[in-house]
Amino acid sequence: MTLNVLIVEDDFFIALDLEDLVRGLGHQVAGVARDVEGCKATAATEVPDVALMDLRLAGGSSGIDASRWLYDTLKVRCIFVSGNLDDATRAELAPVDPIAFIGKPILPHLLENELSNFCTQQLLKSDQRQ
Amino acid sequence: MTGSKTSNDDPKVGAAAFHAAPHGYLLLDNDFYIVDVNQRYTELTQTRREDLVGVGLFDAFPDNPQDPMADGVNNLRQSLEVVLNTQKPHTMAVQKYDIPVRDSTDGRFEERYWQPLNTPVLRNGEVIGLIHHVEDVTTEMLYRRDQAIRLRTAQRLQELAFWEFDPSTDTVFASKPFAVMHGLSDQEATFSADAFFVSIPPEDRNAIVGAFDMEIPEAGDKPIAFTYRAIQPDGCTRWISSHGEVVRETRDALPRFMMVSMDITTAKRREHKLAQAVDERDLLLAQKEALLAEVNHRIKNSLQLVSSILKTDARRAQAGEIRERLERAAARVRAVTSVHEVLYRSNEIASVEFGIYLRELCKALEAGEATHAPVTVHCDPIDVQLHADEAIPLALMVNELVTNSIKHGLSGVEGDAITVKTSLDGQDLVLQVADNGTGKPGDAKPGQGSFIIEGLVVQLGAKMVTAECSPGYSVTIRIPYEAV
Repeated sequence: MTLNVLIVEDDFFIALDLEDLVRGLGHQVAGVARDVEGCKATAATEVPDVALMDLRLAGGSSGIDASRWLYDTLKVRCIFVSGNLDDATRAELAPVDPIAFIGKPILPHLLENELSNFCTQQLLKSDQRQ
Repeated sequence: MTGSKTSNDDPKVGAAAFHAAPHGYLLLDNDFYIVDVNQRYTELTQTRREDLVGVGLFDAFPDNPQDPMADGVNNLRQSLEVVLNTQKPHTMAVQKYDIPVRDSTDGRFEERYWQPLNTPVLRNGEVIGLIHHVEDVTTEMLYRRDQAIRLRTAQRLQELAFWEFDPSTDTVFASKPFAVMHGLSDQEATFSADAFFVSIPPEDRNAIVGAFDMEIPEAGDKPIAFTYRAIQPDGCTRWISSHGEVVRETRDALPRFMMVSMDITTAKRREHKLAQAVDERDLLLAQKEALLAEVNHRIKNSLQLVSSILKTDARRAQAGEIRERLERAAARVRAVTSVHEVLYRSNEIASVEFGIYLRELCKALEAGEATHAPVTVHCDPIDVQLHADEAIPLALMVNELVTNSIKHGLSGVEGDAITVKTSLDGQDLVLQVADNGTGKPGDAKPGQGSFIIEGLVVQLGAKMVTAECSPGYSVTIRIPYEAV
């Protein structure tokens, strides 16, 4: 199963690295957004299966807000990628039903695990629906 | 016995009784001349009967000429005149009435306090004489005066202020220090309770009233205590601590409260400053934590950035040595970044649970991107706390050793494994990385990895032993270990 993955990360090199990783794992990149507005614009047209979400975005905007919008508007869930995943942040994110939290450094095998787990879940769901 | 009746009517017995009476009596005529004096009176006043009888009272007992405040004569004359006019006994307030020292030639006086009672002697509704009765209360008065001095001294020393609250009249008697303390007056006075309470904030006022109300119906005389704020006329707030006792004159009457207060404003201010300092400290600690979290976040993000730069470069490089070098550089940066991850996660600033870290590093290496056949990395770490300064080079070392094993020892070998093990041996932390591969090729040139490992061994003050096994290759590094 190939996933359409939206990358929301304001740092060019980290975003590029994530793009490479996602493609290397056989998935598709829906787009790269640097802030909440970019995230909304890309997600609205590309309709991602999942988003890789940084918490601190460009212009002081917040990945938390972006993830809320994605969840409330498109039911898209996130894998949060951040160097700052404390308990308070995790608790704050609970309402958007996070798929996973991945710290920095981004360990490729962890990302691979999370994406493949998500694929399995999606397949199970579509089986159940059928 | 019939004889007793006869004796009672005998005027001689009466006269004898007068002289034998245990209290001092002076018999005066209506012009205040001394008619008679009993023995006790002469003893009390240190006088002789023959010097007094027939003498005017105020000639016999003039005011002490050395005491300009002496008003004994005047008070006594007024009282005697009251008795003449009203034909009723009159009790005088305690009088200071100094008496001449007997047998003194230099006219010295002795300080004395008296409780006088003047009684009319009546016959047929007419006053025919006056009985002047005195009780020497000098000892008691001097005792009271000494007590008062002690009290005043204590007040000055501790800034104690006495006051009384009388619920029956709803008044507060304020001593001078108390009146000053509350900005009520600059001298002692009686105020309405309202005048006292008006300067006290309502919540404190209610507490005081509550404390008084609680004591009023109680049977015992319990101590009472409260602390309150008094707003001064200049707007400043004073903190006042009051202690006192209930005084019940009769069982059913409302009790009075005898209170003593102390200004504790200075102590309260100090307490307040201390509390502020503690709050500030907590705030600074919270800021420090937040700053630390921010710095950690930045460090990890920057290290991630560096790692991402190297990896994206690597992926875009031609397959070959340059790509491999970039990949290995990225892996080194990632190893360092992971130490920071563990540091931050455990809320430790300077040390790392190296056991936890090593397991994660081995998993990452096992799943590494490097183009190699699947390999198993067994990790058998001991749980030790290491300084970040030691953990980082050690992490880099494990990274290099495992990568070397994958690249060289196991190249082309399928289904083989690498073991990473740490243990404590005496004063040393022992790191062992072994593989069951083809061993080190005899003609292999020492690469960049070996160069790094040797450098880190020196940095850590460690010793390295390598061994060819059959099959495989093992490296043992002994690092001087000191518990964190």
